[in-house]
Amino acid sequence: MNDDEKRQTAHGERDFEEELRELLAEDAYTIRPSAAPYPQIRRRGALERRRRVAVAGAALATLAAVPAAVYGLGAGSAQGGTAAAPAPSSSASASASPKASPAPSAEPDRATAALYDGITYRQAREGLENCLDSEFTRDRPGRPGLAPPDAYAIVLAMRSTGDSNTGGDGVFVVAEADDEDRSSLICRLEDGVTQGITGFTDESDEIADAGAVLVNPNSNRLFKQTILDSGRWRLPFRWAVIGTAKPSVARVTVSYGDSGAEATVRDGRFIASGVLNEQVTRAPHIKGYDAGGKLVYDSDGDKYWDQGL
Amino acid sequence: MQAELEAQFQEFVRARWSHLVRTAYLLTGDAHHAEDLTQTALAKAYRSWRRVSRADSPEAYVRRMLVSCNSDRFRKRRVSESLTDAPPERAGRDEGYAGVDERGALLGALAQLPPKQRAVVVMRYWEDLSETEVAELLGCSVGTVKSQASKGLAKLRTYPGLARRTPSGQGGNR
Repeated sequence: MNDDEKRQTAHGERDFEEELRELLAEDAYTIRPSAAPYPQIRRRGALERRRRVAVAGAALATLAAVPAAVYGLGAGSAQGGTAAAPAPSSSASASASPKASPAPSAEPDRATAALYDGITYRQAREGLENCLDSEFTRDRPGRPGLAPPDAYAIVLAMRSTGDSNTGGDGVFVVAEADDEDRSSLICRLEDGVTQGITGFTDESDEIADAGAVLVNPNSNRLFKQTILDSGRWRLPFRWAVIGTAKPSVARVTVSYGDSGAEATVRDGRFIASGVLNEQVTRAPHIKGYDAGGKLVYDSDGDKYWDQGL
Repeated sequence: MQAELEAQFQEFVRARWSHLVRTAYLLTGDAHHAEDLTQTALAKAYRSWRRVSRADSPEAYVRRMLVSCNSDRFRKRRVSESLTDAPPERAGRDEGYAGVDERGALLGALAQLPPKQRAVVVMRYWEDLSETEVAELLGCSVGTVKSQASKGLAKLRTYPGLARRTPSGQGGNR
């Protein structure tokens, strides 16, 4: 290529770049963006922030006091220290699998909800509605928006044992929305009145080297009492462990102190619950098995799982 | 978020939303994806607004989020996008304009580029960022930006409808 040809080529390059700029601008201006959806952006941003805090909470698992502060259940109206222990029931015994009520088709989650301690589906549903109502009607600028109650499926309802941090006994209701982020809620109620709500989304795919089973970092309060009561838990204590399981996992077991449970595994999620009758110092021990019965996960070897309490 | 920061963020969104959506549109080729992507990027900015707002250019952060989230869209969800003969529907299009065919061709041509190459082209020639700024945005070297831009332009030139704009001057100019 001689000098003239080189100059011509360079000139052509610049021309093409200029024309590309024009074409890009023309294309960009052929759409008319809608008005900026600020409320949605803000809601998603607030949810993102909470989710990031939750993940940080999991990473800092040795800071046992973090969950109460970070997850921020409301202060609640303490009702005195001698609330009743979990009432024994067929579904409350150790190693029990979730008992589901018969399933009317209008309420598909009724069939899959894990209901313990005599809590009915209707009570769980009303608890969820109260929980969401309390958020929708509360003027709290820092809260993310939440979906209407019928967007959520009841996943778990169980007795909540009061401790020095949360007040009196009550009920935990865990619900999950059928949305892209699989957002979930943990509500705590006393006498049917919401004391606190925690919202989070499925973050499991963010952890590249996560094990086949991953306990949700927001669910700690479902299986332990506050660090303020370390060594003097109120017993018996209804607990639950919730999380995600990879498709290869067919079975999840949880042993915790003198109790143990076979988890319900469904749609990549698992739920296990039991009742402790002794003080514990170690976190639940979780194992996952594939369809052939081969052990594919053991929390003892999971760097993301804090074995202490 | 404090009221002052909140107001600042709201003003930023109000002022930059349309432009960011347009950038996202060039990155994705789909107006709906573009709005969703922009929402996602701005939500991430909201999450860290205290820090982001102290940066020299909050918009640079949001651009980075746009590119990053768009790459995630491909990586995580394995989005497959196929080209169609028809260009996407456009609002406010001037049907009498002689460049309509080229504009449709451009989106088709951009869709042929790998996400990073497309991001380089969009950031260089739509956002008018320097090679250094694009390198910072994408977290790569200036050399990579140069080579990606060069490869991207070469591919665009060969795409039907844009091919006649070759630097060899064999095609006609607009």
